[in-house]
Parts: sequence; structure tokens; C-alpha cells
Amino acid sequence: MYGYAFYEGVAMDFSSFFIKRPETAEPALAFSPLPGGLPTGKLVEMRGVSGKTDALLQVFRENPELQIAWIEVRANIYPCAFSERGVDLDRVLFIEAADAHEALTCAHQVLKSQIFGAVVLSQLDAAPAVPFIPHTTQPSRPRDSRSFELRGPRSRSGVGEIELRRLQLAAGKSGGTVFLINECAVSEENWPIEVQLEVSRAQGELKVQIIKSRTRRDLWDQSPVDRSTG
Amino acid sequence: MGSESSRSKYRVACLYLYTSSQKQPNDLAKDLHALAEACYRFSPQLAVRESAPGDDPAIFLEIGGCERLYSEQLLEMKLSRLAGRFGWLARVTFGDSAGEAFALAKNSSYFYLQDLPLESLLDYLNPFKKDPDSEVALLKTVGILKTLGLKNVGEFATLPPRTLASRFGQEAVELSARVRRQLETAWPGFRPSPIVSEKMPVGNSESLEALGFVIKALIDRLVARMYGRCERASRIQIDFDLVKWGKRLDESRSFKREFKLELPLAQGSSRGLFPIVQEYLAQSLQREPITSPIDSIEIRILDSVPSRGAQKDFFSRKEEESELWDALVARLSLKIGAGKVYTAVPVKRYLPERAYQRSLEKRPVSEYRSPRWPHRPTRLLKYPQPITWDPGWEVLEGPERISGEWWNSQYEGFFRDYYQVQTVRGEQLWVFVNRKSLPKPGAEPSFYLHGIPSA
Repeated sequence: MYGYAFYEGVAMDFSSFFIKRPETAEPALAFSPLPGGLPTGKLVEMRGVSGKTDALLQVFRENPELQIAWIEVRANIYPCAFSERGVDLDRVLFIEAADAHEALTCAHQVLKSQIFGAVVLSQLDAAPAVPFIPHTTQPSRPRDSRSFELRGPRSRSGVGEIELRRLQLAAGKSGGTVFLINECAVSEENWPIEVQLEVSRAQGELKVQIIKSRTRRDLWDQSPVDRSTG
Repeated sequence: MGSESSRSKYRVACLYLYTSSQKQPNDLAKDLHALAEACYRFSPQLAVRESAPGDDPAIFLEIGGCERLYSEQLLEMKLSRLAGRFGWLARVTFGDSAGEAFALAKNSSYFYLQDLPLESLLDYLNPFKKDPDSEVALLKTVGILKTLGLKNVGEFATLPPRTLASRFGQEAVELSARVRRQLETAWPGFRPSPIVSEKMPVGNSESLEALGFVIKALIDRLVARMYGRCERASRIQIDFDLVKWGKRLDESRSFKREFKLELPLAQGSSRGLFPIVQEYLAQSLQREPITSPIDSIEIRILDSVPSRGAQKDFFSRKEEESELWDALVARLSLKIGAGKVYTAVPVKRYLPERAYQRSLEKRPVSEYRSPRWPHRPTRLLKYPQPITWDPGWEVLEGPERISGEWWNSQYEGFFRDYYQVQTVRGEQLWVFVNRKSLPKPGAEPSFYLHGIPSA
């Protein structure tokens, strides 16, 4: 309607006079198993028993410009594996936090600095230091140990809805993507999390399954849900 | 031609400072030298005209060789801004000699050199105010010139130099040479103070937030001075002078609080240093609050390290990010402990747990290139843990035999066979058998769990 004017009975097309806003794609981190990539400035959760770190390292390998802050509770990440998997160590800052609270504080500081495109919060559900015993000799830990505290429901990680929401706001403001990697869901109340992925390993191949996506479902729905990272 | 071209390169900026009557003479001199120190960022050749009663101070910068670094307009803006940070109201002028620039600055209502009044010849001859005796003789000459009907510098410049000596004496000849840009005054050297400190009175010390404004201003000045010196602060001291109040003043009671802050990484920007100081003070004052209001705050740089001295790149944020990185690492290290924030630098060692070292400082990219190792796990236990070999485990890779460092008295060498195995439940483990402590034939060897290949 706005593009036309009538002058002495002749319709004239003025549409070319208006500046059209170009359709820009939302910035995303490349991740080959997911064609649309991963959103930036959001919370992305990767969970599963094995393969999470490998999947995350693949994201970083595919985005070589990304500066990474790797925050881990009771860190046992092995940096030599990074360079072997194509992630340059000069762009990774490792932070060893004592507990989930300290890890979150560090994450906020890191996001505030605005120099890191990716912040990894790993092992927020790590229990106090105990000798590692593989699952062959120890029963798996319960995953539904839900407890209610003053500031809303929390999971075993000690990260509640409020902490996640704060993290979501900080990520949005800084434009950095926060990756939460844990064996099970980091929080029962997961609405601030933008994307949830379940990573598993079958016959040597990584499988990525989309559990939840708030914005990129339309892109991912074009291909099957289970994807191997190759 | 050669002398003409070299003369044309000589260019002087004069930062003329208007003094406030509120400042004490000692403070004036200190502030002037602090500002001059900060001006080192623009030129290595500086001179200071000290303040005197009824006479405003000035800072001279020789900028002849800096034309590719900044324009005069940009320098004017930067110098005015810098002077503002140090609490000065300033005027910036440019000239082909120090005297010319100063004469233009002092007589702000004149735009052209030839229009300047004859009294400004005094500024031409003695811009740095180092020779007060010559001024008396010059005043006499100026008086004679005025009697003859000369009004401004332009008219004086038209007088033939040959006749000046016989008519007005040798001062007039020297003056003519200065006006004609044939003679330049020798620049006195400027030596910055060995101690970098800034002090400011505090009006409101009710909360740390209120103190933050004062601390921020002090840090701004300190950082500007350090930038001029091409240094970064690595250790600082913050002194609070407390108000002596109370009905009975106890002799043993101290009215001074000192905070010494060792920075894990040297800081060269106020954006990096201020949050660290603020956080440190918040923690310290929470533990031990102050007993009376704060009268003044002084911050002193105790130790410094050479700065990178890199120029800001308009097309990349690399230098800025590097500063931010250092600031973040320093802040986190202070908060959660040294050694817990690091970048991993690969080391050429076969022992897996020693194949990298933690570095607080970000090193050159070439140092992060790691040697080519066989497949390594993403998780490595800090201490290998004994584990019992399960007959159901499937060996995926191995053995990878690693041994060496027999010369190291701490380990007495290591002799390990690494295997990547898969348990019945599908978990992958990185285990090794220590060949050094192999039991007698027939007995079970002891295995250790060392890593998880793909967590």
C-alpha cells in the first residue's frame, strides 16, 4: 500500500524509493552436525556420558577465530588433547574453580570482559574430590536428586533457575556462547537454556541428539535429529 | 636546501596551562611534572616552563618527526583531554619554534605572528624562563622600539638585521634571528620523578562506591603517567590518610591504612587496574573496616615492568584484547588463587602429566604449537589410580610404550605401557601398566587408570 501513489488517475510504483531492510542471518557458531550452527550469546547445554568434550572441541575446531574460556570444577581436562584435535592452545584460557558457585562467578567475569566468544562451564555437578571409580565397579549416580531451596529449585550441580537466568543475561549482553557440559541436566528448571543436546558415542562415532531448541528448530528440522559428527 | 628542509621539520607544540588560585605552589609543580610525564606518549623531547606567581606554566613538545603518527588537530584534542584528566585548563598552540608557540599561546587573542605585541618578544627570547637576567635588557630594547613607533612583531621583523646591532644592541640582533627562525633556544632537559604517586583529597568516604570516584581518577592519572614512561604497574601501594577524630586521641592508634597489592600480571590500563583495586579494597575493608573518615588517598607504584609499547590498531582489537586478557587473568588469579587461571603451553616431554606447563601470561603463538603426540585422552587424572584389569575389557589401542627421564631423581624414570580399553558398558579408559614394578612371572601386573579418552 505504501509503495503506490495515485496522480491524475495513474498509479505510480514508488516501492523502489523505500530502503528495504536486508534479511540478515542470526550469527551462529559453525557445527557441522547441525546445519544452522549453534546460536551465539545464548546458553547451550551438552550432556551425555561420553563424547561431550570431543563434540565441543569439534565446535572450536570449526570456529578457529573463537577465544575460549574453559571453566571447570575440579579440573581434569587435558590441554594436550586440544591441539591434537585441531584447537590451538593460544586461544584457550583454563580456569580451575573449586565449586559451582566459584565457576559461575568466574563465568560472569569472563563474559563481562567481552573477549571470549565461548565460555565452557564443565563439571558443575562434580562432587567433592573422591577417587575415580569406573562404572564397572560403582553403580551410576542418581540423576533425579532434586532439592528445593530458598532461591528456587536446584539440581545436584547447585545451579538453580536464577543462576541460569543471570548467566543467560550476561551471555546475551556479551555476545558469547556459554556451553554447559555435564553428565546429566545442569538444572531441573532449564528454560533459560537455548539449546540442549545429548551427545553419545556408538561404535566410535559421536551422535548428537537435539533435546530442546528454542529458536533453531526450523533449521534443524530439515534433517534427521540424530547426527554423527564424523 | 638541506638546512631549509631540516628546519621545516622542526615543529613545537605548546601546552599552555591556566593555573587555579586554589592550588598550592608545591602541588602546582608536582601536577605540572606529572602531566609532563604523561605527555611523553606524544614525543620523547619535552621541556617544562615552571609556574611562577603571575606567570602560567607550559609544556613544550617537539613534534617535527611525528607528522605521520598524528595530525596537529588530533594532538590538540588529545593534549587538552589529557590536561583535563590532570585537572588543568589548557590551550594548545603550534609554532616553528618554542618561542613562537609560547608567544601565540600566551596572547590568545592574536591569530597571526606578525600581529603579536612587542612585549611578546620576551616570550620569543626566553620561552623556558631559564634566563631571567636577559629579560631586563630585553625590556629596555622593547621600550626603545616602542618609542620609535613600532607596534608589533611584524614591524620589528621588517627592520634590516645589519643595522640592529648599532642601533639597539646585541639583544636586538638575537631577537631578530629568533623572529626570523634563524636561531632556536636550547631546550632544557626534563627528568621525570623516580617515584610515581598520586594523591587526592576525599570529600565523601561513606562507602567504597563513593571512594571509587577518587580511586578511579587517581588510577587514571597513574596509568597515563605509566603509559608515558612505557611501563606497566606490577606492585602498588594504596594509603588512606584518616581524619584524626575522637575525644581522646590515643597515641598508639594509627591514622593511616596501607594496602600493598601485588598484581599477578602487570597492568597498563585503568580499565584493567581499577576493578582489581576495587575488589581488593572491598575484601580488605570487609575484613577490617576503617575507624574514621578518610582525609586523602595516595596511590603509589612500587614496581613496574616495561610495557609492550604497541600502538592502537584501528583495524584490529588485538592490543586492546591483550590488555583485557591480562586484566581478567589478574583479577581471577587474585580471586580464586594463583595457578588456577592459566594457558597451557606444550612442553616436549613424554610423561603425559608433564607434557604441558601452566602459564599465567599469554606467550607468543609459536610457543603454543605442540609436538605431534599419539592419540591422547581429553581427561587426565592428576594422579594415576590403581585399577583391576577386567577380562571383559576390549583393547582398542595399544600398547604405546613410553619411558624415559631415568636421569630425573624425582621419578627415577618411568616405564609405562598405555592401552585404550573399552569396558563392558561401553566406557573408554586410558590405562597403563608400570613395567618398572612388574611382578614375578605368573603374577598379575598392576594397572593404573590415567585418563578418559572421550569424556
